[in-house]
Amino acid sequence: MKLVHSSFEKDKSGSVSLVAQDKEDLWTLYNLIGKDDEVRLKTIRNVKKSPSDKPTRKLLSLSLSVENVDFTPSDEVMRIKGRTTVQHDDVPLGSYHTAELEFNQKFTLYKNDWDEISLDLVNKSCSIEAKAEVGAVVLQEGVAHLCLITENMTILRSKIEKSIPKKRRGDSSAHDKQLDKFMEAAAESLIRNFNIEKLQVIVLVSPGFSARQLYDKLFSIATTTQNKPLVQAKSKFVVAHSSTGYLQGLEEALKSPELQKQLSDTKFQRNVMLFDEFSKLLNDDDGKAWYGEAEVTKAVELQGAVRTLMVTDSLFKSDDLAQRKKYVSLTEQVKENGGEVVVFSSLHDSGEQLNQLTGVAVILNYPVPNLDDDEDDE
Amino acid sequence: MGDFDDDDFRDYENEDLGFDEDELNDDEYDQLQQSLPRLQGLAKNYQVDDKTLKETLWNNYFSVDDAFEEVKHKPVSKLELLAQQRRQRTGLRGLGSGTGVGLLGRPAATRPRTQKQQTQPDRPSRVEVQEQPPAQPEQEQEQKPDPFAALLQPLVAASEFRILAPRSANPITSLFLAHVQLPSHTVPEINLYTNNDLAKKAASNFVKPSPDERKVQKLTEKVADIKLKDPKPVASKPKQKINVDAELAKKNSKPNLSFIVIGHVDSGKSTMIGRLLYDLGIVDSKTLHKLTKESDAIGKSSFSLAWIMDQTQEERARGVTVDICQTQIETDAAKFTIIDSPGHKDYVPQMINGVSQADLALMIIDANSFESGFSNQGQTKEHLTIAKNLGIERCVVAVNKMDVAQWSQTVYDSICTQIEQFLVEELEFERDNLIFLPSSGFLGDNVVSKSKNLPWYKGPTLMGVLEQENREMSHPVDKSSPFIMVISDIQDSSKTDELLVSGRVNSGVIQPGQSVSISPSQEVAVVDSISITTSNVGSSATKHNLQKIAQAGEFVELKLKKLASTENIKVGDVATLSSNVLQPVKKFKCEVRLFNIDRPLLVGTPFVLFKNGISVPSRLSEIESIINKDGKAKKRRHLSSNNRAVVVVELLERELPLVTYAQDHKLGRIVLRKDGLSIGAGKILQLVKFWPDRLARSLALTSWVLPILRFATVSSWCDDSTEMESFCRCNWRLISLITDEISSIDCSIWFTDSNCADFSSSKIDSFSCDSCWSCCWSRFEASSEYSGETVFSTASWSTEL
Repeated sequence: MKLVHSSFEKDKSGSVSLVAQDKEDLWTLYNLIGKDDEVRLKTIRNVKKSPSDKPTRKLLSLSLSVENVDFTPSDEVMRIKGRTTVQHDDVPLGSYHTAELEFNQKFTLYKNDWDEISLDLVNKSCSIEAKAEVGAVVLQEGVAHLCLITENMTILRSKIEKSIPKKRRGDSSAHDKQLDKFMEAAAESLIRNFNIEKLQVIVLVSPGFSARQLYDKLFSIATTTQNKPLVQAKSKFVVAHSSTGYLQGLEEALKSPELQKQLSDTKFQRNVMLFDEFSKLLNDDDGKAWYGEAEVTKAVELQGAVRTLMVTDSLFKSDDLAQRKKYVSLTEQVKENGGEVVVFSSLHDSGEQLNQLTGVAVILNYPVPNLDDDEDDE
Repeated sequence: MGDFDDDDFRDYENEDLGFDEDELNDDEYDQLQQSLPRLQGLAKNYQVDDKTLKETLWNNYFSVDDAFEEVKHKPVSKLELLAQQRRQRTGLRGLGSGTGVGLLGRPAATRPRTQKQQTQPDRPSRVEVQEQPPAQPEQEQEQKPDPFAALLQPLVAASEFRILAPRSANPITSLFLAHVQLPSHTVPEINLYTNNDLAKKAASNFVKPSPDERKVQKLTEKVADIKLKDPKPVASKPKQKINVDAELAKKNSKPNLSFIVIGHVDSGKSTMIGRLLYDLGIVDSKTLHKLTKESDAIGKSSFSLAWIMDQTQEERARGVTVDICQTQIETDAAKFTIIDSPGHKDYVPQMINGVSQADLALMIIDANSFESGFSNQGQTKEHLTIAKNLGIERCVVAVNKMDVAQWSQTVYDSICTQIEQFLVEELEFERDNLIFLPSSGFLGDNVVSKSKNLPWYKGPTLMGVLEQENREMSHPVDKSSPFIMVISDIQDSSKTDELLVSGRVNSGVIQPGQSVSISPSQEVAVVDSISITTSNVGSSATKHNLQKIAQAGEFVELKLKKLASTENIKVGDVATLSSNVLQPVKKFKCEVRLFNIDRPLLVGTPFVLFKNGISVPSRLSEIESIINKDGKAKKRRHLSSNNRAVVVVELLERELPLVTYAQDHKLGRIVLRKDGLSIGAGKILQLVKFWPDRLARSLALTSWVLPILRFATVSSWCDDSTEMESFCRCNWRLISLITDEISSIDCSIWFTDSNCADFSSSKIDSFSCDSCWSCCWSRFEASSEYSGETVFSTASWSTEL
């Protein structure tokens, strides 16, 4: 994302002008733009001069008080719905408008209260560090998932399913033929769906040998079709192991040491490891890991107890301002006391899991038993 | 709860208390005393007691005129009273009255400062009914508002909908009550104000049906005329008339035993089967010679026997079995289905598929590297645990590679003791169901023929054990049980509407000519022919025998014809007779037992679920209770090692047809795996049904239907599933009739209200149409101790839609 301009007042209100450049940015904006914020941008609206006129499409510059933001990761646009706050020749004050925000479109966002989380979102997404984007294929015989993993999102690009006949004693040619067709389909889909030059790493994950088979298939296709970029990118491909060909196999593979090295500075990988550590501590049951709003709040109140606070972004996305404020102050408190705050993206599997677990969890520096005492009255 | 502070609660309490004369302050009391006589004068025709008058005054801030307006329309709420009485009489539980009061009771009790404008639309005049003079209150009471007008009101003013809806529910309900003719629908006559002449006259008018009632009548007739389109009847007669009992008896004279060969990687499973087939003469020496030459060529000469089963390039090159391979043999006295399974850790999923098709497990143990397989990471324990949890009760343990162990009895005995201890103590196998024997698959000792190298072993050979098991385990098939077959393999046919599917018949019988329905896609097809592929002992030819009938336990290949689409049929789908369709579900309740795990199972934890032949990604969606050792349930928030619990599991990718444990002991079992380890096993207790998507979507168009639904779910309707069915069918006619007339209404208006809580005590996060349907459905299931059968098939729904 490009930051064009920013100005903040002493009371923490202020505005920023931003230009979104990729999907990742749209997701950041989705999390950033909240209800009652004000957005100013150029947008197209059907305008009627008088009731009998035919509506004409006009490019207008409108200011909207946001009511709702819509974003589907598979789309490349975001819809912002709100009421206009400035009188316009063609648009009466207070009329509803839904604007589409696209890549490379400048807009200005005004917020009454820029809290730390919001500022952090802007800063992080505007940093010039190259954004890691990883391609992954998770497969087993008969099913393959092609996905893109970015800093904040796991996007399923394509899923290939094929029913493969079982091998039979005496004749397994049907099995071999269909398996070959399946591998070919997966390999071709990979070439079609992934921008191989842009991706940092491409991970092939499967139980058994399927990933290796796909790797071989891919490069035999690359040689026969003389696909030079693909051949050159050979070193980007990593074959890894998982126990299943479903999407959850990806997370399993990310925990493996060989991939850890390759992907050590990516956020989603860190999140996966952190969540794994959390569940391990939970299993040990020695009072170092807690989840749930009440428990976490109590843990944060014990100064210096919290080592890591894990929160999902959907808690900050909450329309309930009081709730958002509460979590913002929670994170600030943890940072003040020297703890680490990690925001999980709910578009990753690890974030989704945390979401299911109330969305907030802590790892403590030392065991604090019975944080859940007064809840456990049964 | 965090959103309410104490003040809010106090407000709520005040609202519920309503009016209390004793709590008035002096000022209020004076005002009351001043205005009460005036109101009493005005309202003397209305037979309202003083207390009500006082309360009304209080509600209207002591304005006599306003209070009188309210008193005039008071009878409307008497109608509610009547409705409530009626509902109570029809065996209503707490829930029903809760619905009535939850919506109406509170607005009536609160001060109308905010309610005033909203209550006004309640007046019948807004419902376009002829307004009755205020002097005839009892007529209003008997008057039924026009249902159509009531229905259309949500269109007029969505904001009023909240208040109006309960009332509009009334006529609609009586409409369909009338249609289905429940005894309870007759409204008892209530004469409250008989001393008024005018009222008597009016009452006589009301003996005749009112214009509205006539409309209702017309509508009912119209509704009754609509014919439901039944699913296209499919020919479901067997092609040939055969004597079923005689055929089955013939089959039972040579019963089929299905066994799976399991064990740690490289323990010699495939080689053992290869040896068995070779020694029985099913694989001739020419074939074996060829395999020996081939395996020699890549330096794996010891694999020649295994290559009989391991056919694919991948398997041969790597020297491990990848997928299960099933073969059938026939001896003079018995038939066997042998399933070879992979031992490698990565291919446990395939092995699980194999176990779900077997009656008996043959465990192969490498006598020389027993420890590596028996450690916690090894597959010996994991395979046995899975087998036991998938319902395998009998197990044959063959201690293999005795040739390498110098035929030592001490090695054999020590392995047997450890295995037995594990099987009996940890897995709770019956001691009598375990058989141990030493063998050498590679050399053929004690497989088919007795071995000279094992003089200390007195028992039968492996083949002898299997034949004996075959005799013991065979039992006649119950031909009246429903036909169920899980498809384990699919082969395309040259024709587009044909498909060859194979699998094991899980229960019941099937004959060519009968039609089957395949769930979850609900494709219907006719069974053209049934064949069994088998090899006789002593002959290397495989035969495809056409069958007149197939029974439970047999592995058959069905040729399906007249399929609308072959694309939708996948491995793991379930074929049933088309008269007995299985409803696919996305969520189900099950009892699970966890194994040793190093990460706890949290709500939301994803895992892979295995059930009859397929694996699907799923996650834990709810923990209902954790059962302690003493059988007591305790509430906790996550599951750890060796817990037993009742949980709700959600399938993440697609719906599956499931069978509860009560319905079928084998199909109702599941195994859970995560990160390559088996983490638990369980039994399906109950299916959580969802309404078909399309139905939900079309319901979003007809928000007014929900009052009916609400009524139906809370009233006595649910007590009987046939009543529920007729209710739905009846209403469906209504829905299809009126959808044409009503354009789209967003039904979310409905669910912003607290009424949704009345549907179900369970928490509903988003009041979407879907969640409403599903929670109604679960309420329905809970209320009627619903057994899990489907009341209506998807097929019939979709034709209607």
